[in-house]
Amino acid sequence: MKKRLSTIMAIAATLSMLFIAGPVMAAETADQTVALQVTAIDMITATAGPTLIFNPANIEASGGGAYVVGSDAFQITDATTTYSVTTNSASNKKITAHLDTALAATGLALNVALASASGVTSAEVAITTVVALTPVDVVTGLLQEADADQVITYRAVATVETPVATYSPVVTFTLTDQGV
Amino acid sequence: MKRLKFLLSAAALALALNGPALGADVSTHVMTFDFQAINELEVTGTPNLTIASAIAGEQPQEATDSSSTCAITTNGANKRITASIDTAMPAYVTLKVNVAAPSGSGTSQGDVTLATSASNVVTGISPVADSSPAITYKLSATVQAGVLATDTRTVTFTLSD
Amino acid sequence: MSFSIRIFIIFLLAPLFFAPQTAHAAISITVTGSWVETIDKNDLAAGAGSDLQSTYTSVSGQVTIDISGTSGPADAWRIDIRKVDDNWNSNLHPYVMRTSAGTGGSVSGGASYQEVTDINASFFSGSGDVTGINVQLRMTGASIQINPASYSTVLYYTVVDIQ
Repeated sequence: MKKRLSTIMAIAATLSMLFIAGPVMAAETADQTVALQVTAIDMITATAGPTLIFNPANIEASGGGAYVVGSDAFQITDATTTYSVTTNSASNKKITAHLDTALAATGLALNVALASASGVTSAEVAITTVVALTPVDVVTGLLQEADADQVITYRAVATVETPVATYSPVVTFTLTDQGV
Repeated sequence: MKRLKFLLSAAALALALNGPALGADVSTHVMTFDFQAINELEVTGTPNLTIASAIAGEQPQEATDSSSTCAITTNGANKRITASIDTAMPAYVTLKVNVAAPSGSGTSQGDVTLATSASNVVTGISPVADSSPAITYKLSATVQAGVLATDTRTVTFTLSD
Repeated sequence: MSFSIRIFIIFLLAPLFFAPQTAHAAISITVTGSWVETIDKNDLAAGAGSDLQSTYTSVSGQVTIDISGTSGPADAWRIDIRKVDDNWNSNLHPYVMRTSAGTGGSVSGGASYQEVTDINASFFSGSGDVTGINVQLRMTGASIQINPASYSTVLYYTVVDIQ
């Protein structure tokens, strides 16, 4: 009985020591675990949109070159705005564009082209009637890139039938998975 | 009279010389204090670094964690603290550590890139006891690193000559 | 003064010069024990980041003192104490304190810690033969600013027979 009791007490003492959470012992060497993570990063920004004003001083001939008085159509271009993009995706991304509302004015058309140091740029894309449901690709093949201040070129076309007014479409550029 | 004074003085002297003998004895013991070399280091904190954002057009933004501290006591001279990691970082990913020097002792080496081989993080440490030196970790990655699932590294700090 | 009177006085006083010495005992002190202390990381006040505890105290009776050879219970004596450094650090300060009266005779004083210096100073006093007087030791001034090394000093206890 005595022997069993002393055995039980010895076991209890040992177990109690195991459950005592002692302080981390200092030594000449100390280890520390550091947790690390890099999440998916897909960022695109654009500078403020341009103001394209059709006036005799700045219009060009439709398709480029000096405007010839008497021509029905004319255009203006703007390359003063830029976009920047960062993606760490290991699969291709693309940039699409669309308008908030289709341009319905007679003879008015809007085209856009995005430069890209890393991706594949589309030729100029017409976005006059491109809205959110049907965005168009403007840059493809972006793979783990960080490109700043890439030029956006707008070309707006109007005709003599286009009503004199202010048109303020909002162009949205979206960085998204390119898919297959 | 003169002679009487002389004789009386001589008597007094004789009495004094024959006064009680003063005894004295000495015994000794030793007190010894053996100061051992003391080099103690303790690191606290659970750093967590997540790169989750970027300014468009730029590389992902660095993640920083300054929640850890390094407590140190040493009675040695010209000591240093080194740091290393157990496994190399993935390509295009860098982990740096900055350990503040203990108060009035040593020089921090600033942001030090961690590798599997030890690098100095604080040098020239003289005897000091300080529980507060801050440890700052910085994780950086380029877009080429891609997405990194949660991972860990064990950083080993060593106090040595 | 006549010559014969001078001679008489001389013969009267002569015995005083050659009087046998009073039979005083050879009082003796025996100190037993020593104190060796290792100061290491376990003596840090609160682990890494903290300094060493500055004060260390021996057990009571780390050292014991026996006084013997007195002429009797009324034979008064005094204990003086000083140290002689071997390899010492001036930041370290040793102290002594009497913690018991021993057996036999009588003892008084020395019941508070007093610093031991290089100069003899009175520690405690008593009378008669006494054995087993306990002494407790203390050392202050330890810190991590003290270079790792072994530091020693020798404490000298002198028993002085007093009237």
